Amino acid sequence: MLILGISAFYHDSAACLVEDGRVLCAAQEERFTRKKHDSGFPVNAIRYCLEEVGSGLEGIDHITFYDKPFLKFERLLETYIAFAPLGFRSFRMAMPLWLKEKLYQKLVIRDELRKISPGVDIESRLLFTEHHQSHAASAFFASPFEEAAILTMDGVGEWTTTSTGFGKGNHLEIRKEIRFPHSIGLLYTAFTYHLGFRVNSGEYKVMGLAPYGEPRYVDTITENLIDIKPDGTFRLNMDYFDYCTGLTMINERFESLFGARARKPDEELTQKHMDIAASVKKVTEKIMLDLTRSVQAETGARNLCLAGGVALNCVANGKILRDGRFDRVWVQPASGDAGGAIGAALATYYQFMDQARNAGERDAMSGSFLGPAYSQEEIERRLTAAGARFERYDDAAFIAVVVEALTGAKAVGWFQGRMEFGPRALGARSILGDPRDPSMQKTLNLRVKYRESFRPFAPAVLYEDLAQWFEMESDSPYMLLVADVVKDKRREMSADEQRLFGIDKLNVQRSEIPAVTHVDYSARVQTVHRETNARFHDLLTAFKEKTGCPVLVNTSFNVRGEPIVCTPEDAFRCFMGTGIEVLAIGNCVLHKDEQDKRLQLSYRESFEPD
Amino acid sequence: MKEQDDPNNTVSFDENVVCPVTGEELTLSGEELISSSGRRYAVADGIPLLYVDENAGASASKKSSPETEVTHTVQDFYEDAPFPNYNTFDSVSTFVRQADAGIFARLLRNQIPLNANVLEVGCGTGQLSNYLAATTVSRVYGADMAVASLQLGHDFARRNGIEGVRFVQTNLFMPPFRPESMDVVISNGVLHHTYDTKKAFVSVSRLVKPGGHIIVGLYNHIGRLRTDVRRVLVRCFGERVLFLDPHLRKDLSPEKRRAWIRDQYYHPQERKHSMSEVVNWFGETGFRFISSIPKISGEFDRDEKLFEPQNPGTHVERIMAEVGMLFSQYGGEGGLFICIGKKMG
Repeated sequence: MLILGISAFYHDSAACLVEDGRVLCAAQEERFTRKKHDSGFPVNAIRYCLEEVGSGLEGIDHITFYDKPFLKFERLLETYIAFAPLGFRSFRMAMPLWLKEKLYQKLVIRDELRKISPGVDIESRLLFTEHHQSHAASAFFASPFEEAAILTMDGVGEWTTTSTGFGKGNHLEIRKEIRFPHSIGLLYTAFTYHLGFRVNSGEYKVMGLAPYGEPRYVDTITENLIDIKPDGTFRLNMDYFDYCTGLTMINERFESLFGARARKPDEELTQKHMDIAASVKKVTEKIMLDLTRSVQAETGARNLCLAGGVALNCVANGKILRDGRFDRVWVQPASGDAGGAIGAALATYYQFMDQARNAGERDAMSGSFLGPAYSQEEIERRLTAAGARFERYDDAAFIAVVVEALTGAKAVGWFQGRMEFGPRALGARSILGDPRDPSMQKTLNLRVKYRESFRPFAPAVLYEDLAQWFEMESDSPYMLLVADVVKDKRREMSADEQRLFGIDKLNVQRSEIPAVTHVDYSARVQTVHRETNARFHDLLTAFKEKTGCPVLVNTSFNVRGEPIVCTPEDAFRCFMGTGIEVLAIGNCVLHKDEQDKRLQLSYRESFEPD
Repeated sequence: MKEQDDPNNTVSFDENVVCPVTGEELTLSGEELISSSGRRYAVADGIPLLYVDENAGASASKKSSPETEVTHTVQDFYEDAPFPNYNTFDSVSTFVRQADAGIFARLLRNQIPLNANVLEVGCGTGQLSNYLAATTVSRVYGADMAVASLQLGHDFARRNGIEGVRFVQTNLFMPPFRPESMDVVISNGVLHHTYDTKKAFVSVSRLVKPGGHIIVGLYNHIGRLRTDVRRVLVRCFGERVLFLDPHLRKDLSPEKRRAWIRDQYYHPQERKHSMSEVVNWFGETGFRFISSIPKISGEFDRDEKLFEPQNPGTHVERIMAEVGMLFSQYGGEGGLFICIGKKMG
C-alpha cells in the first residue's frame, strides 16, 4: 500500500512516499526550486517521489495532506488576539479528526495534483490529518520503539506549540498541549530578533553563540518573561512580546529588561550578546528537561521520541539522555513541517488504516537518505555538460584520493548516493574537512560557507570508535545529540587562554580535533554506520587508517542562505563559487585549480545572508 | 621573466575571440593580439581593441562612408558619457542585490545554462555582463565600441574579483567573435542606435550557436510614444519638464541621472521597431520565436521561463501587446520590448 504524504503552504514544503509503514522516499521542495524554505505546493518533490516508484498518482492509495490550520501568521495573530483570554488549555482528548473539510485548501490541492496526473480521481484518495497528530506521528511511528513517551516542540507559527503524549504499537495519544502564543520557539525567536539574526532561520545561530557566553540572565528571563511550572509547562508573559504588529518581535519593555536595544545585523557581537544566548539556551534546556521528567512520570515509558523544531536543540537532547529518566531517546531528524509530511503518511497507515506495527531494530527513516540519487553515468554526463573537468577512479583509488585531499587540509565537497531529508547533511551532500587542523573551523566558515567564524561544525565519527572519542554510548545517526570529547583527547587551556573572552576563545585549541570541539569540550556528534551509508563509512575508515583519527568535519553542502545542493549541477555551481578545493562526486574527483577559471562565479554574493 | 612579458612567447588568446576582419585565431604577444595573417591589435588596460571600421578590409585610403559616419557619431556620444554608468557601489554584493531587483536580470541569472558562452552586444559600462559573470557558471563577453565605458566595467570586475568576464571593443557589424560560438547573445537597447537595425541584427545573430538563444531589446514605435512626446516637450520647454519621466523619479545618482537623460532625449541616432518585424527577422535568419517581454498573451510571471516557447501570437495580438506597453511601466520607461529567439538546426 502506497501513501503519499504532503506538507505545504506554510514553511518548508515536502513530499514523501510510505509503503507498508516504511518511508521509501522523501524530499523538500526547496532542494528542487533552490528557494530556501520554499512553501509552495511541492510539485517537484511529488514528481520525484512518483518517479521513484515509476507511477502516476493512479498508483497511490492515499494522499494525505499535513494540515496546517492557518495559512498565514497574520491570520494566526488575528485569531490569537480574538482568543487570547482562553489561553492555555492543558488537557485535550486526542480525537482523530480525519477527513475534516478544508474547502479552500482542498480545491488548491486537488487542482495541483490534477496537473501532475490528469484524469486521476483525487477526491477519493485525499485525506487530511490534524497537524499536531502528524508531528507526534512523525516522532513515534518512525521510531524504533514499540512503546514510548512523546514530546513535540514546535517553532513559531504553530497552534499547538508543545505537546506530550504516549505511543504504543499502532496507537498514539496526545495528553497535554500548550498552545499559541506560549511557545519556546517564540521565546527563541524573540531572542533571535534581539540578537540581530534573521527571524525564522537564525534561531540556530543563537544556539551556536551560546557556548561563548555565561548564562547570567537566566533569572531575568524566568522571573519576567516566562513562568515555568514544576511539570515543565509554561506561560510567556505577553507584556514583553510585540509580534502583533508583525514588524518586531519584542517591545521596549523587553529591551529595557536587558538594558540594550536590539542588535542590528551588521553590528558587532559582544560578550553580552553571547551571555544572553547562553541564558536563553539554559532556560530552554530546563524546560525540556522538566517536561521530559514529567511525561516519564505520567506514562512510565522507558523510551522517548522527540519532534519539532525545538528538538533540533541538540544540547538539550544530550542532557535528556544523560538525565537517565529514559533508556533511549529518538529524535525525528526531519523536524518541523517537512517531517509533518512523513507524520501524515505514517499516521494514515497506522491509525486511519489501522495496520499492525512492529517496531524494527532500526527506525523507519533509512538514515534519512531518502532523496534523489544519480548514477555514475548520469553524473559524468551532467558534469561534462556543465563544463567540469574531472578524473574518474575505481572505488579504492577514489577513497584514497579523497583521503589525500583531506589530510592535505583541503575542503572537500562530498556528493554521494541519495540526498538527505531534513535540515542536516549526513554524508550524502556534505562538505568535509580534517578536524585535527586548528584553522579548519575558520577556513570553512569564512572561505567556504561565507558566514560568521564562530559557527560551530559537527564531527562525523565511525560508530565503532565512538567511545574512544566522545563521552557517549548511544548512536546518533542524525547529528542530534551533543556529547563531550573524552578527557584524554582534550587539551587544557593555559591560564592566559582562560582569561580570553567570547570569540577570542574560539581560536584556542581545545582538543585533538579542534575544528569540532566547542569551548566547553562539547560536540554535536553524528555516528556513521555501515548499514546506512557504506561509502562514508569507508572514507572514515580509510582516513582513520592513515591518520589514526576516525572523525571528519561534516557540514552541509551549501553556502549561507542557499538550500543544500541536490543535483550534480548544484554541486558544481557551489564548488565553482566557493573555497571548496576538491569535489568528490560519484566516483569522479574535481580539483578547483584544474577547472576553467572563466566559469567561476562570486558565490558569496549570490544568496541573501540568513 | 613572466610569460606574458616575453614578446617571443605567444599564447592562444581566447578560442571565441577572432580577428574581426579575417576571422582568424588571435595569439597574444606582449600587449598585442596578432592574427595568423599578421594583423595586429592593441590590448589597452586589459581590453582588446578589436574595433575596426566596416571598410577596413578594403583599401586603406578609402573615404569613410555615411554608414561609418553614423557609427562614429554614436561612438563619440558614448565615449563622452558612458552609459548606464556605475553608482558608487561599495561592493559586488550591493551591486548584485540591486541588479537582482530588476526582474529581467534576475530571470537571466537563474536561467542561463551552466557552461554557456554569453555575449552582451552593446554592454556599455558592463553592468549586466559583470552581474552575469558574478552569479552564473558561464563565460561572459561584454562587447561595446566605447572604450571609456568598457574600461569602467573592466575596472569594476578587476577591483571586485569577478572572474569569467572579458570586455572587448567591438564594431557589431564586424564582430571579433567566432561565428556560432555563443549560447546566448544579448543585445538590449542597442541595435536601434546603429545605421541599420536589421543589418545589425543579422550580423550578431551569426554568432549564436545552433540551439542557442538571441535576446534582442528594441524601442517600440507604439511603446515609445510617451518618451517621444516628452522629447518634444523638452525641446520646447527645456529640461524642467523632465519631472514627467517616471524613471527620473527614482533614486538615482547625479551621474546615472545625467546618463539616462542624455541617452533618452539627446541620442543622435535611434529607430523604433515592432514585434512583428523582429518575428519576421527571426524567421529569415533561422530563429524560432520563443518568448517576449511584454508577453504577447497572458500575464508576466515573477518566475517566467524565458527559454520556454510561448505562443508568438498573430500580428494583431502583437500590436495589442505594444499598445498595452503605453499603459505600463514599459511605456513609462522608454518603451523597450524584448524578444527571445532560438537558433534552429
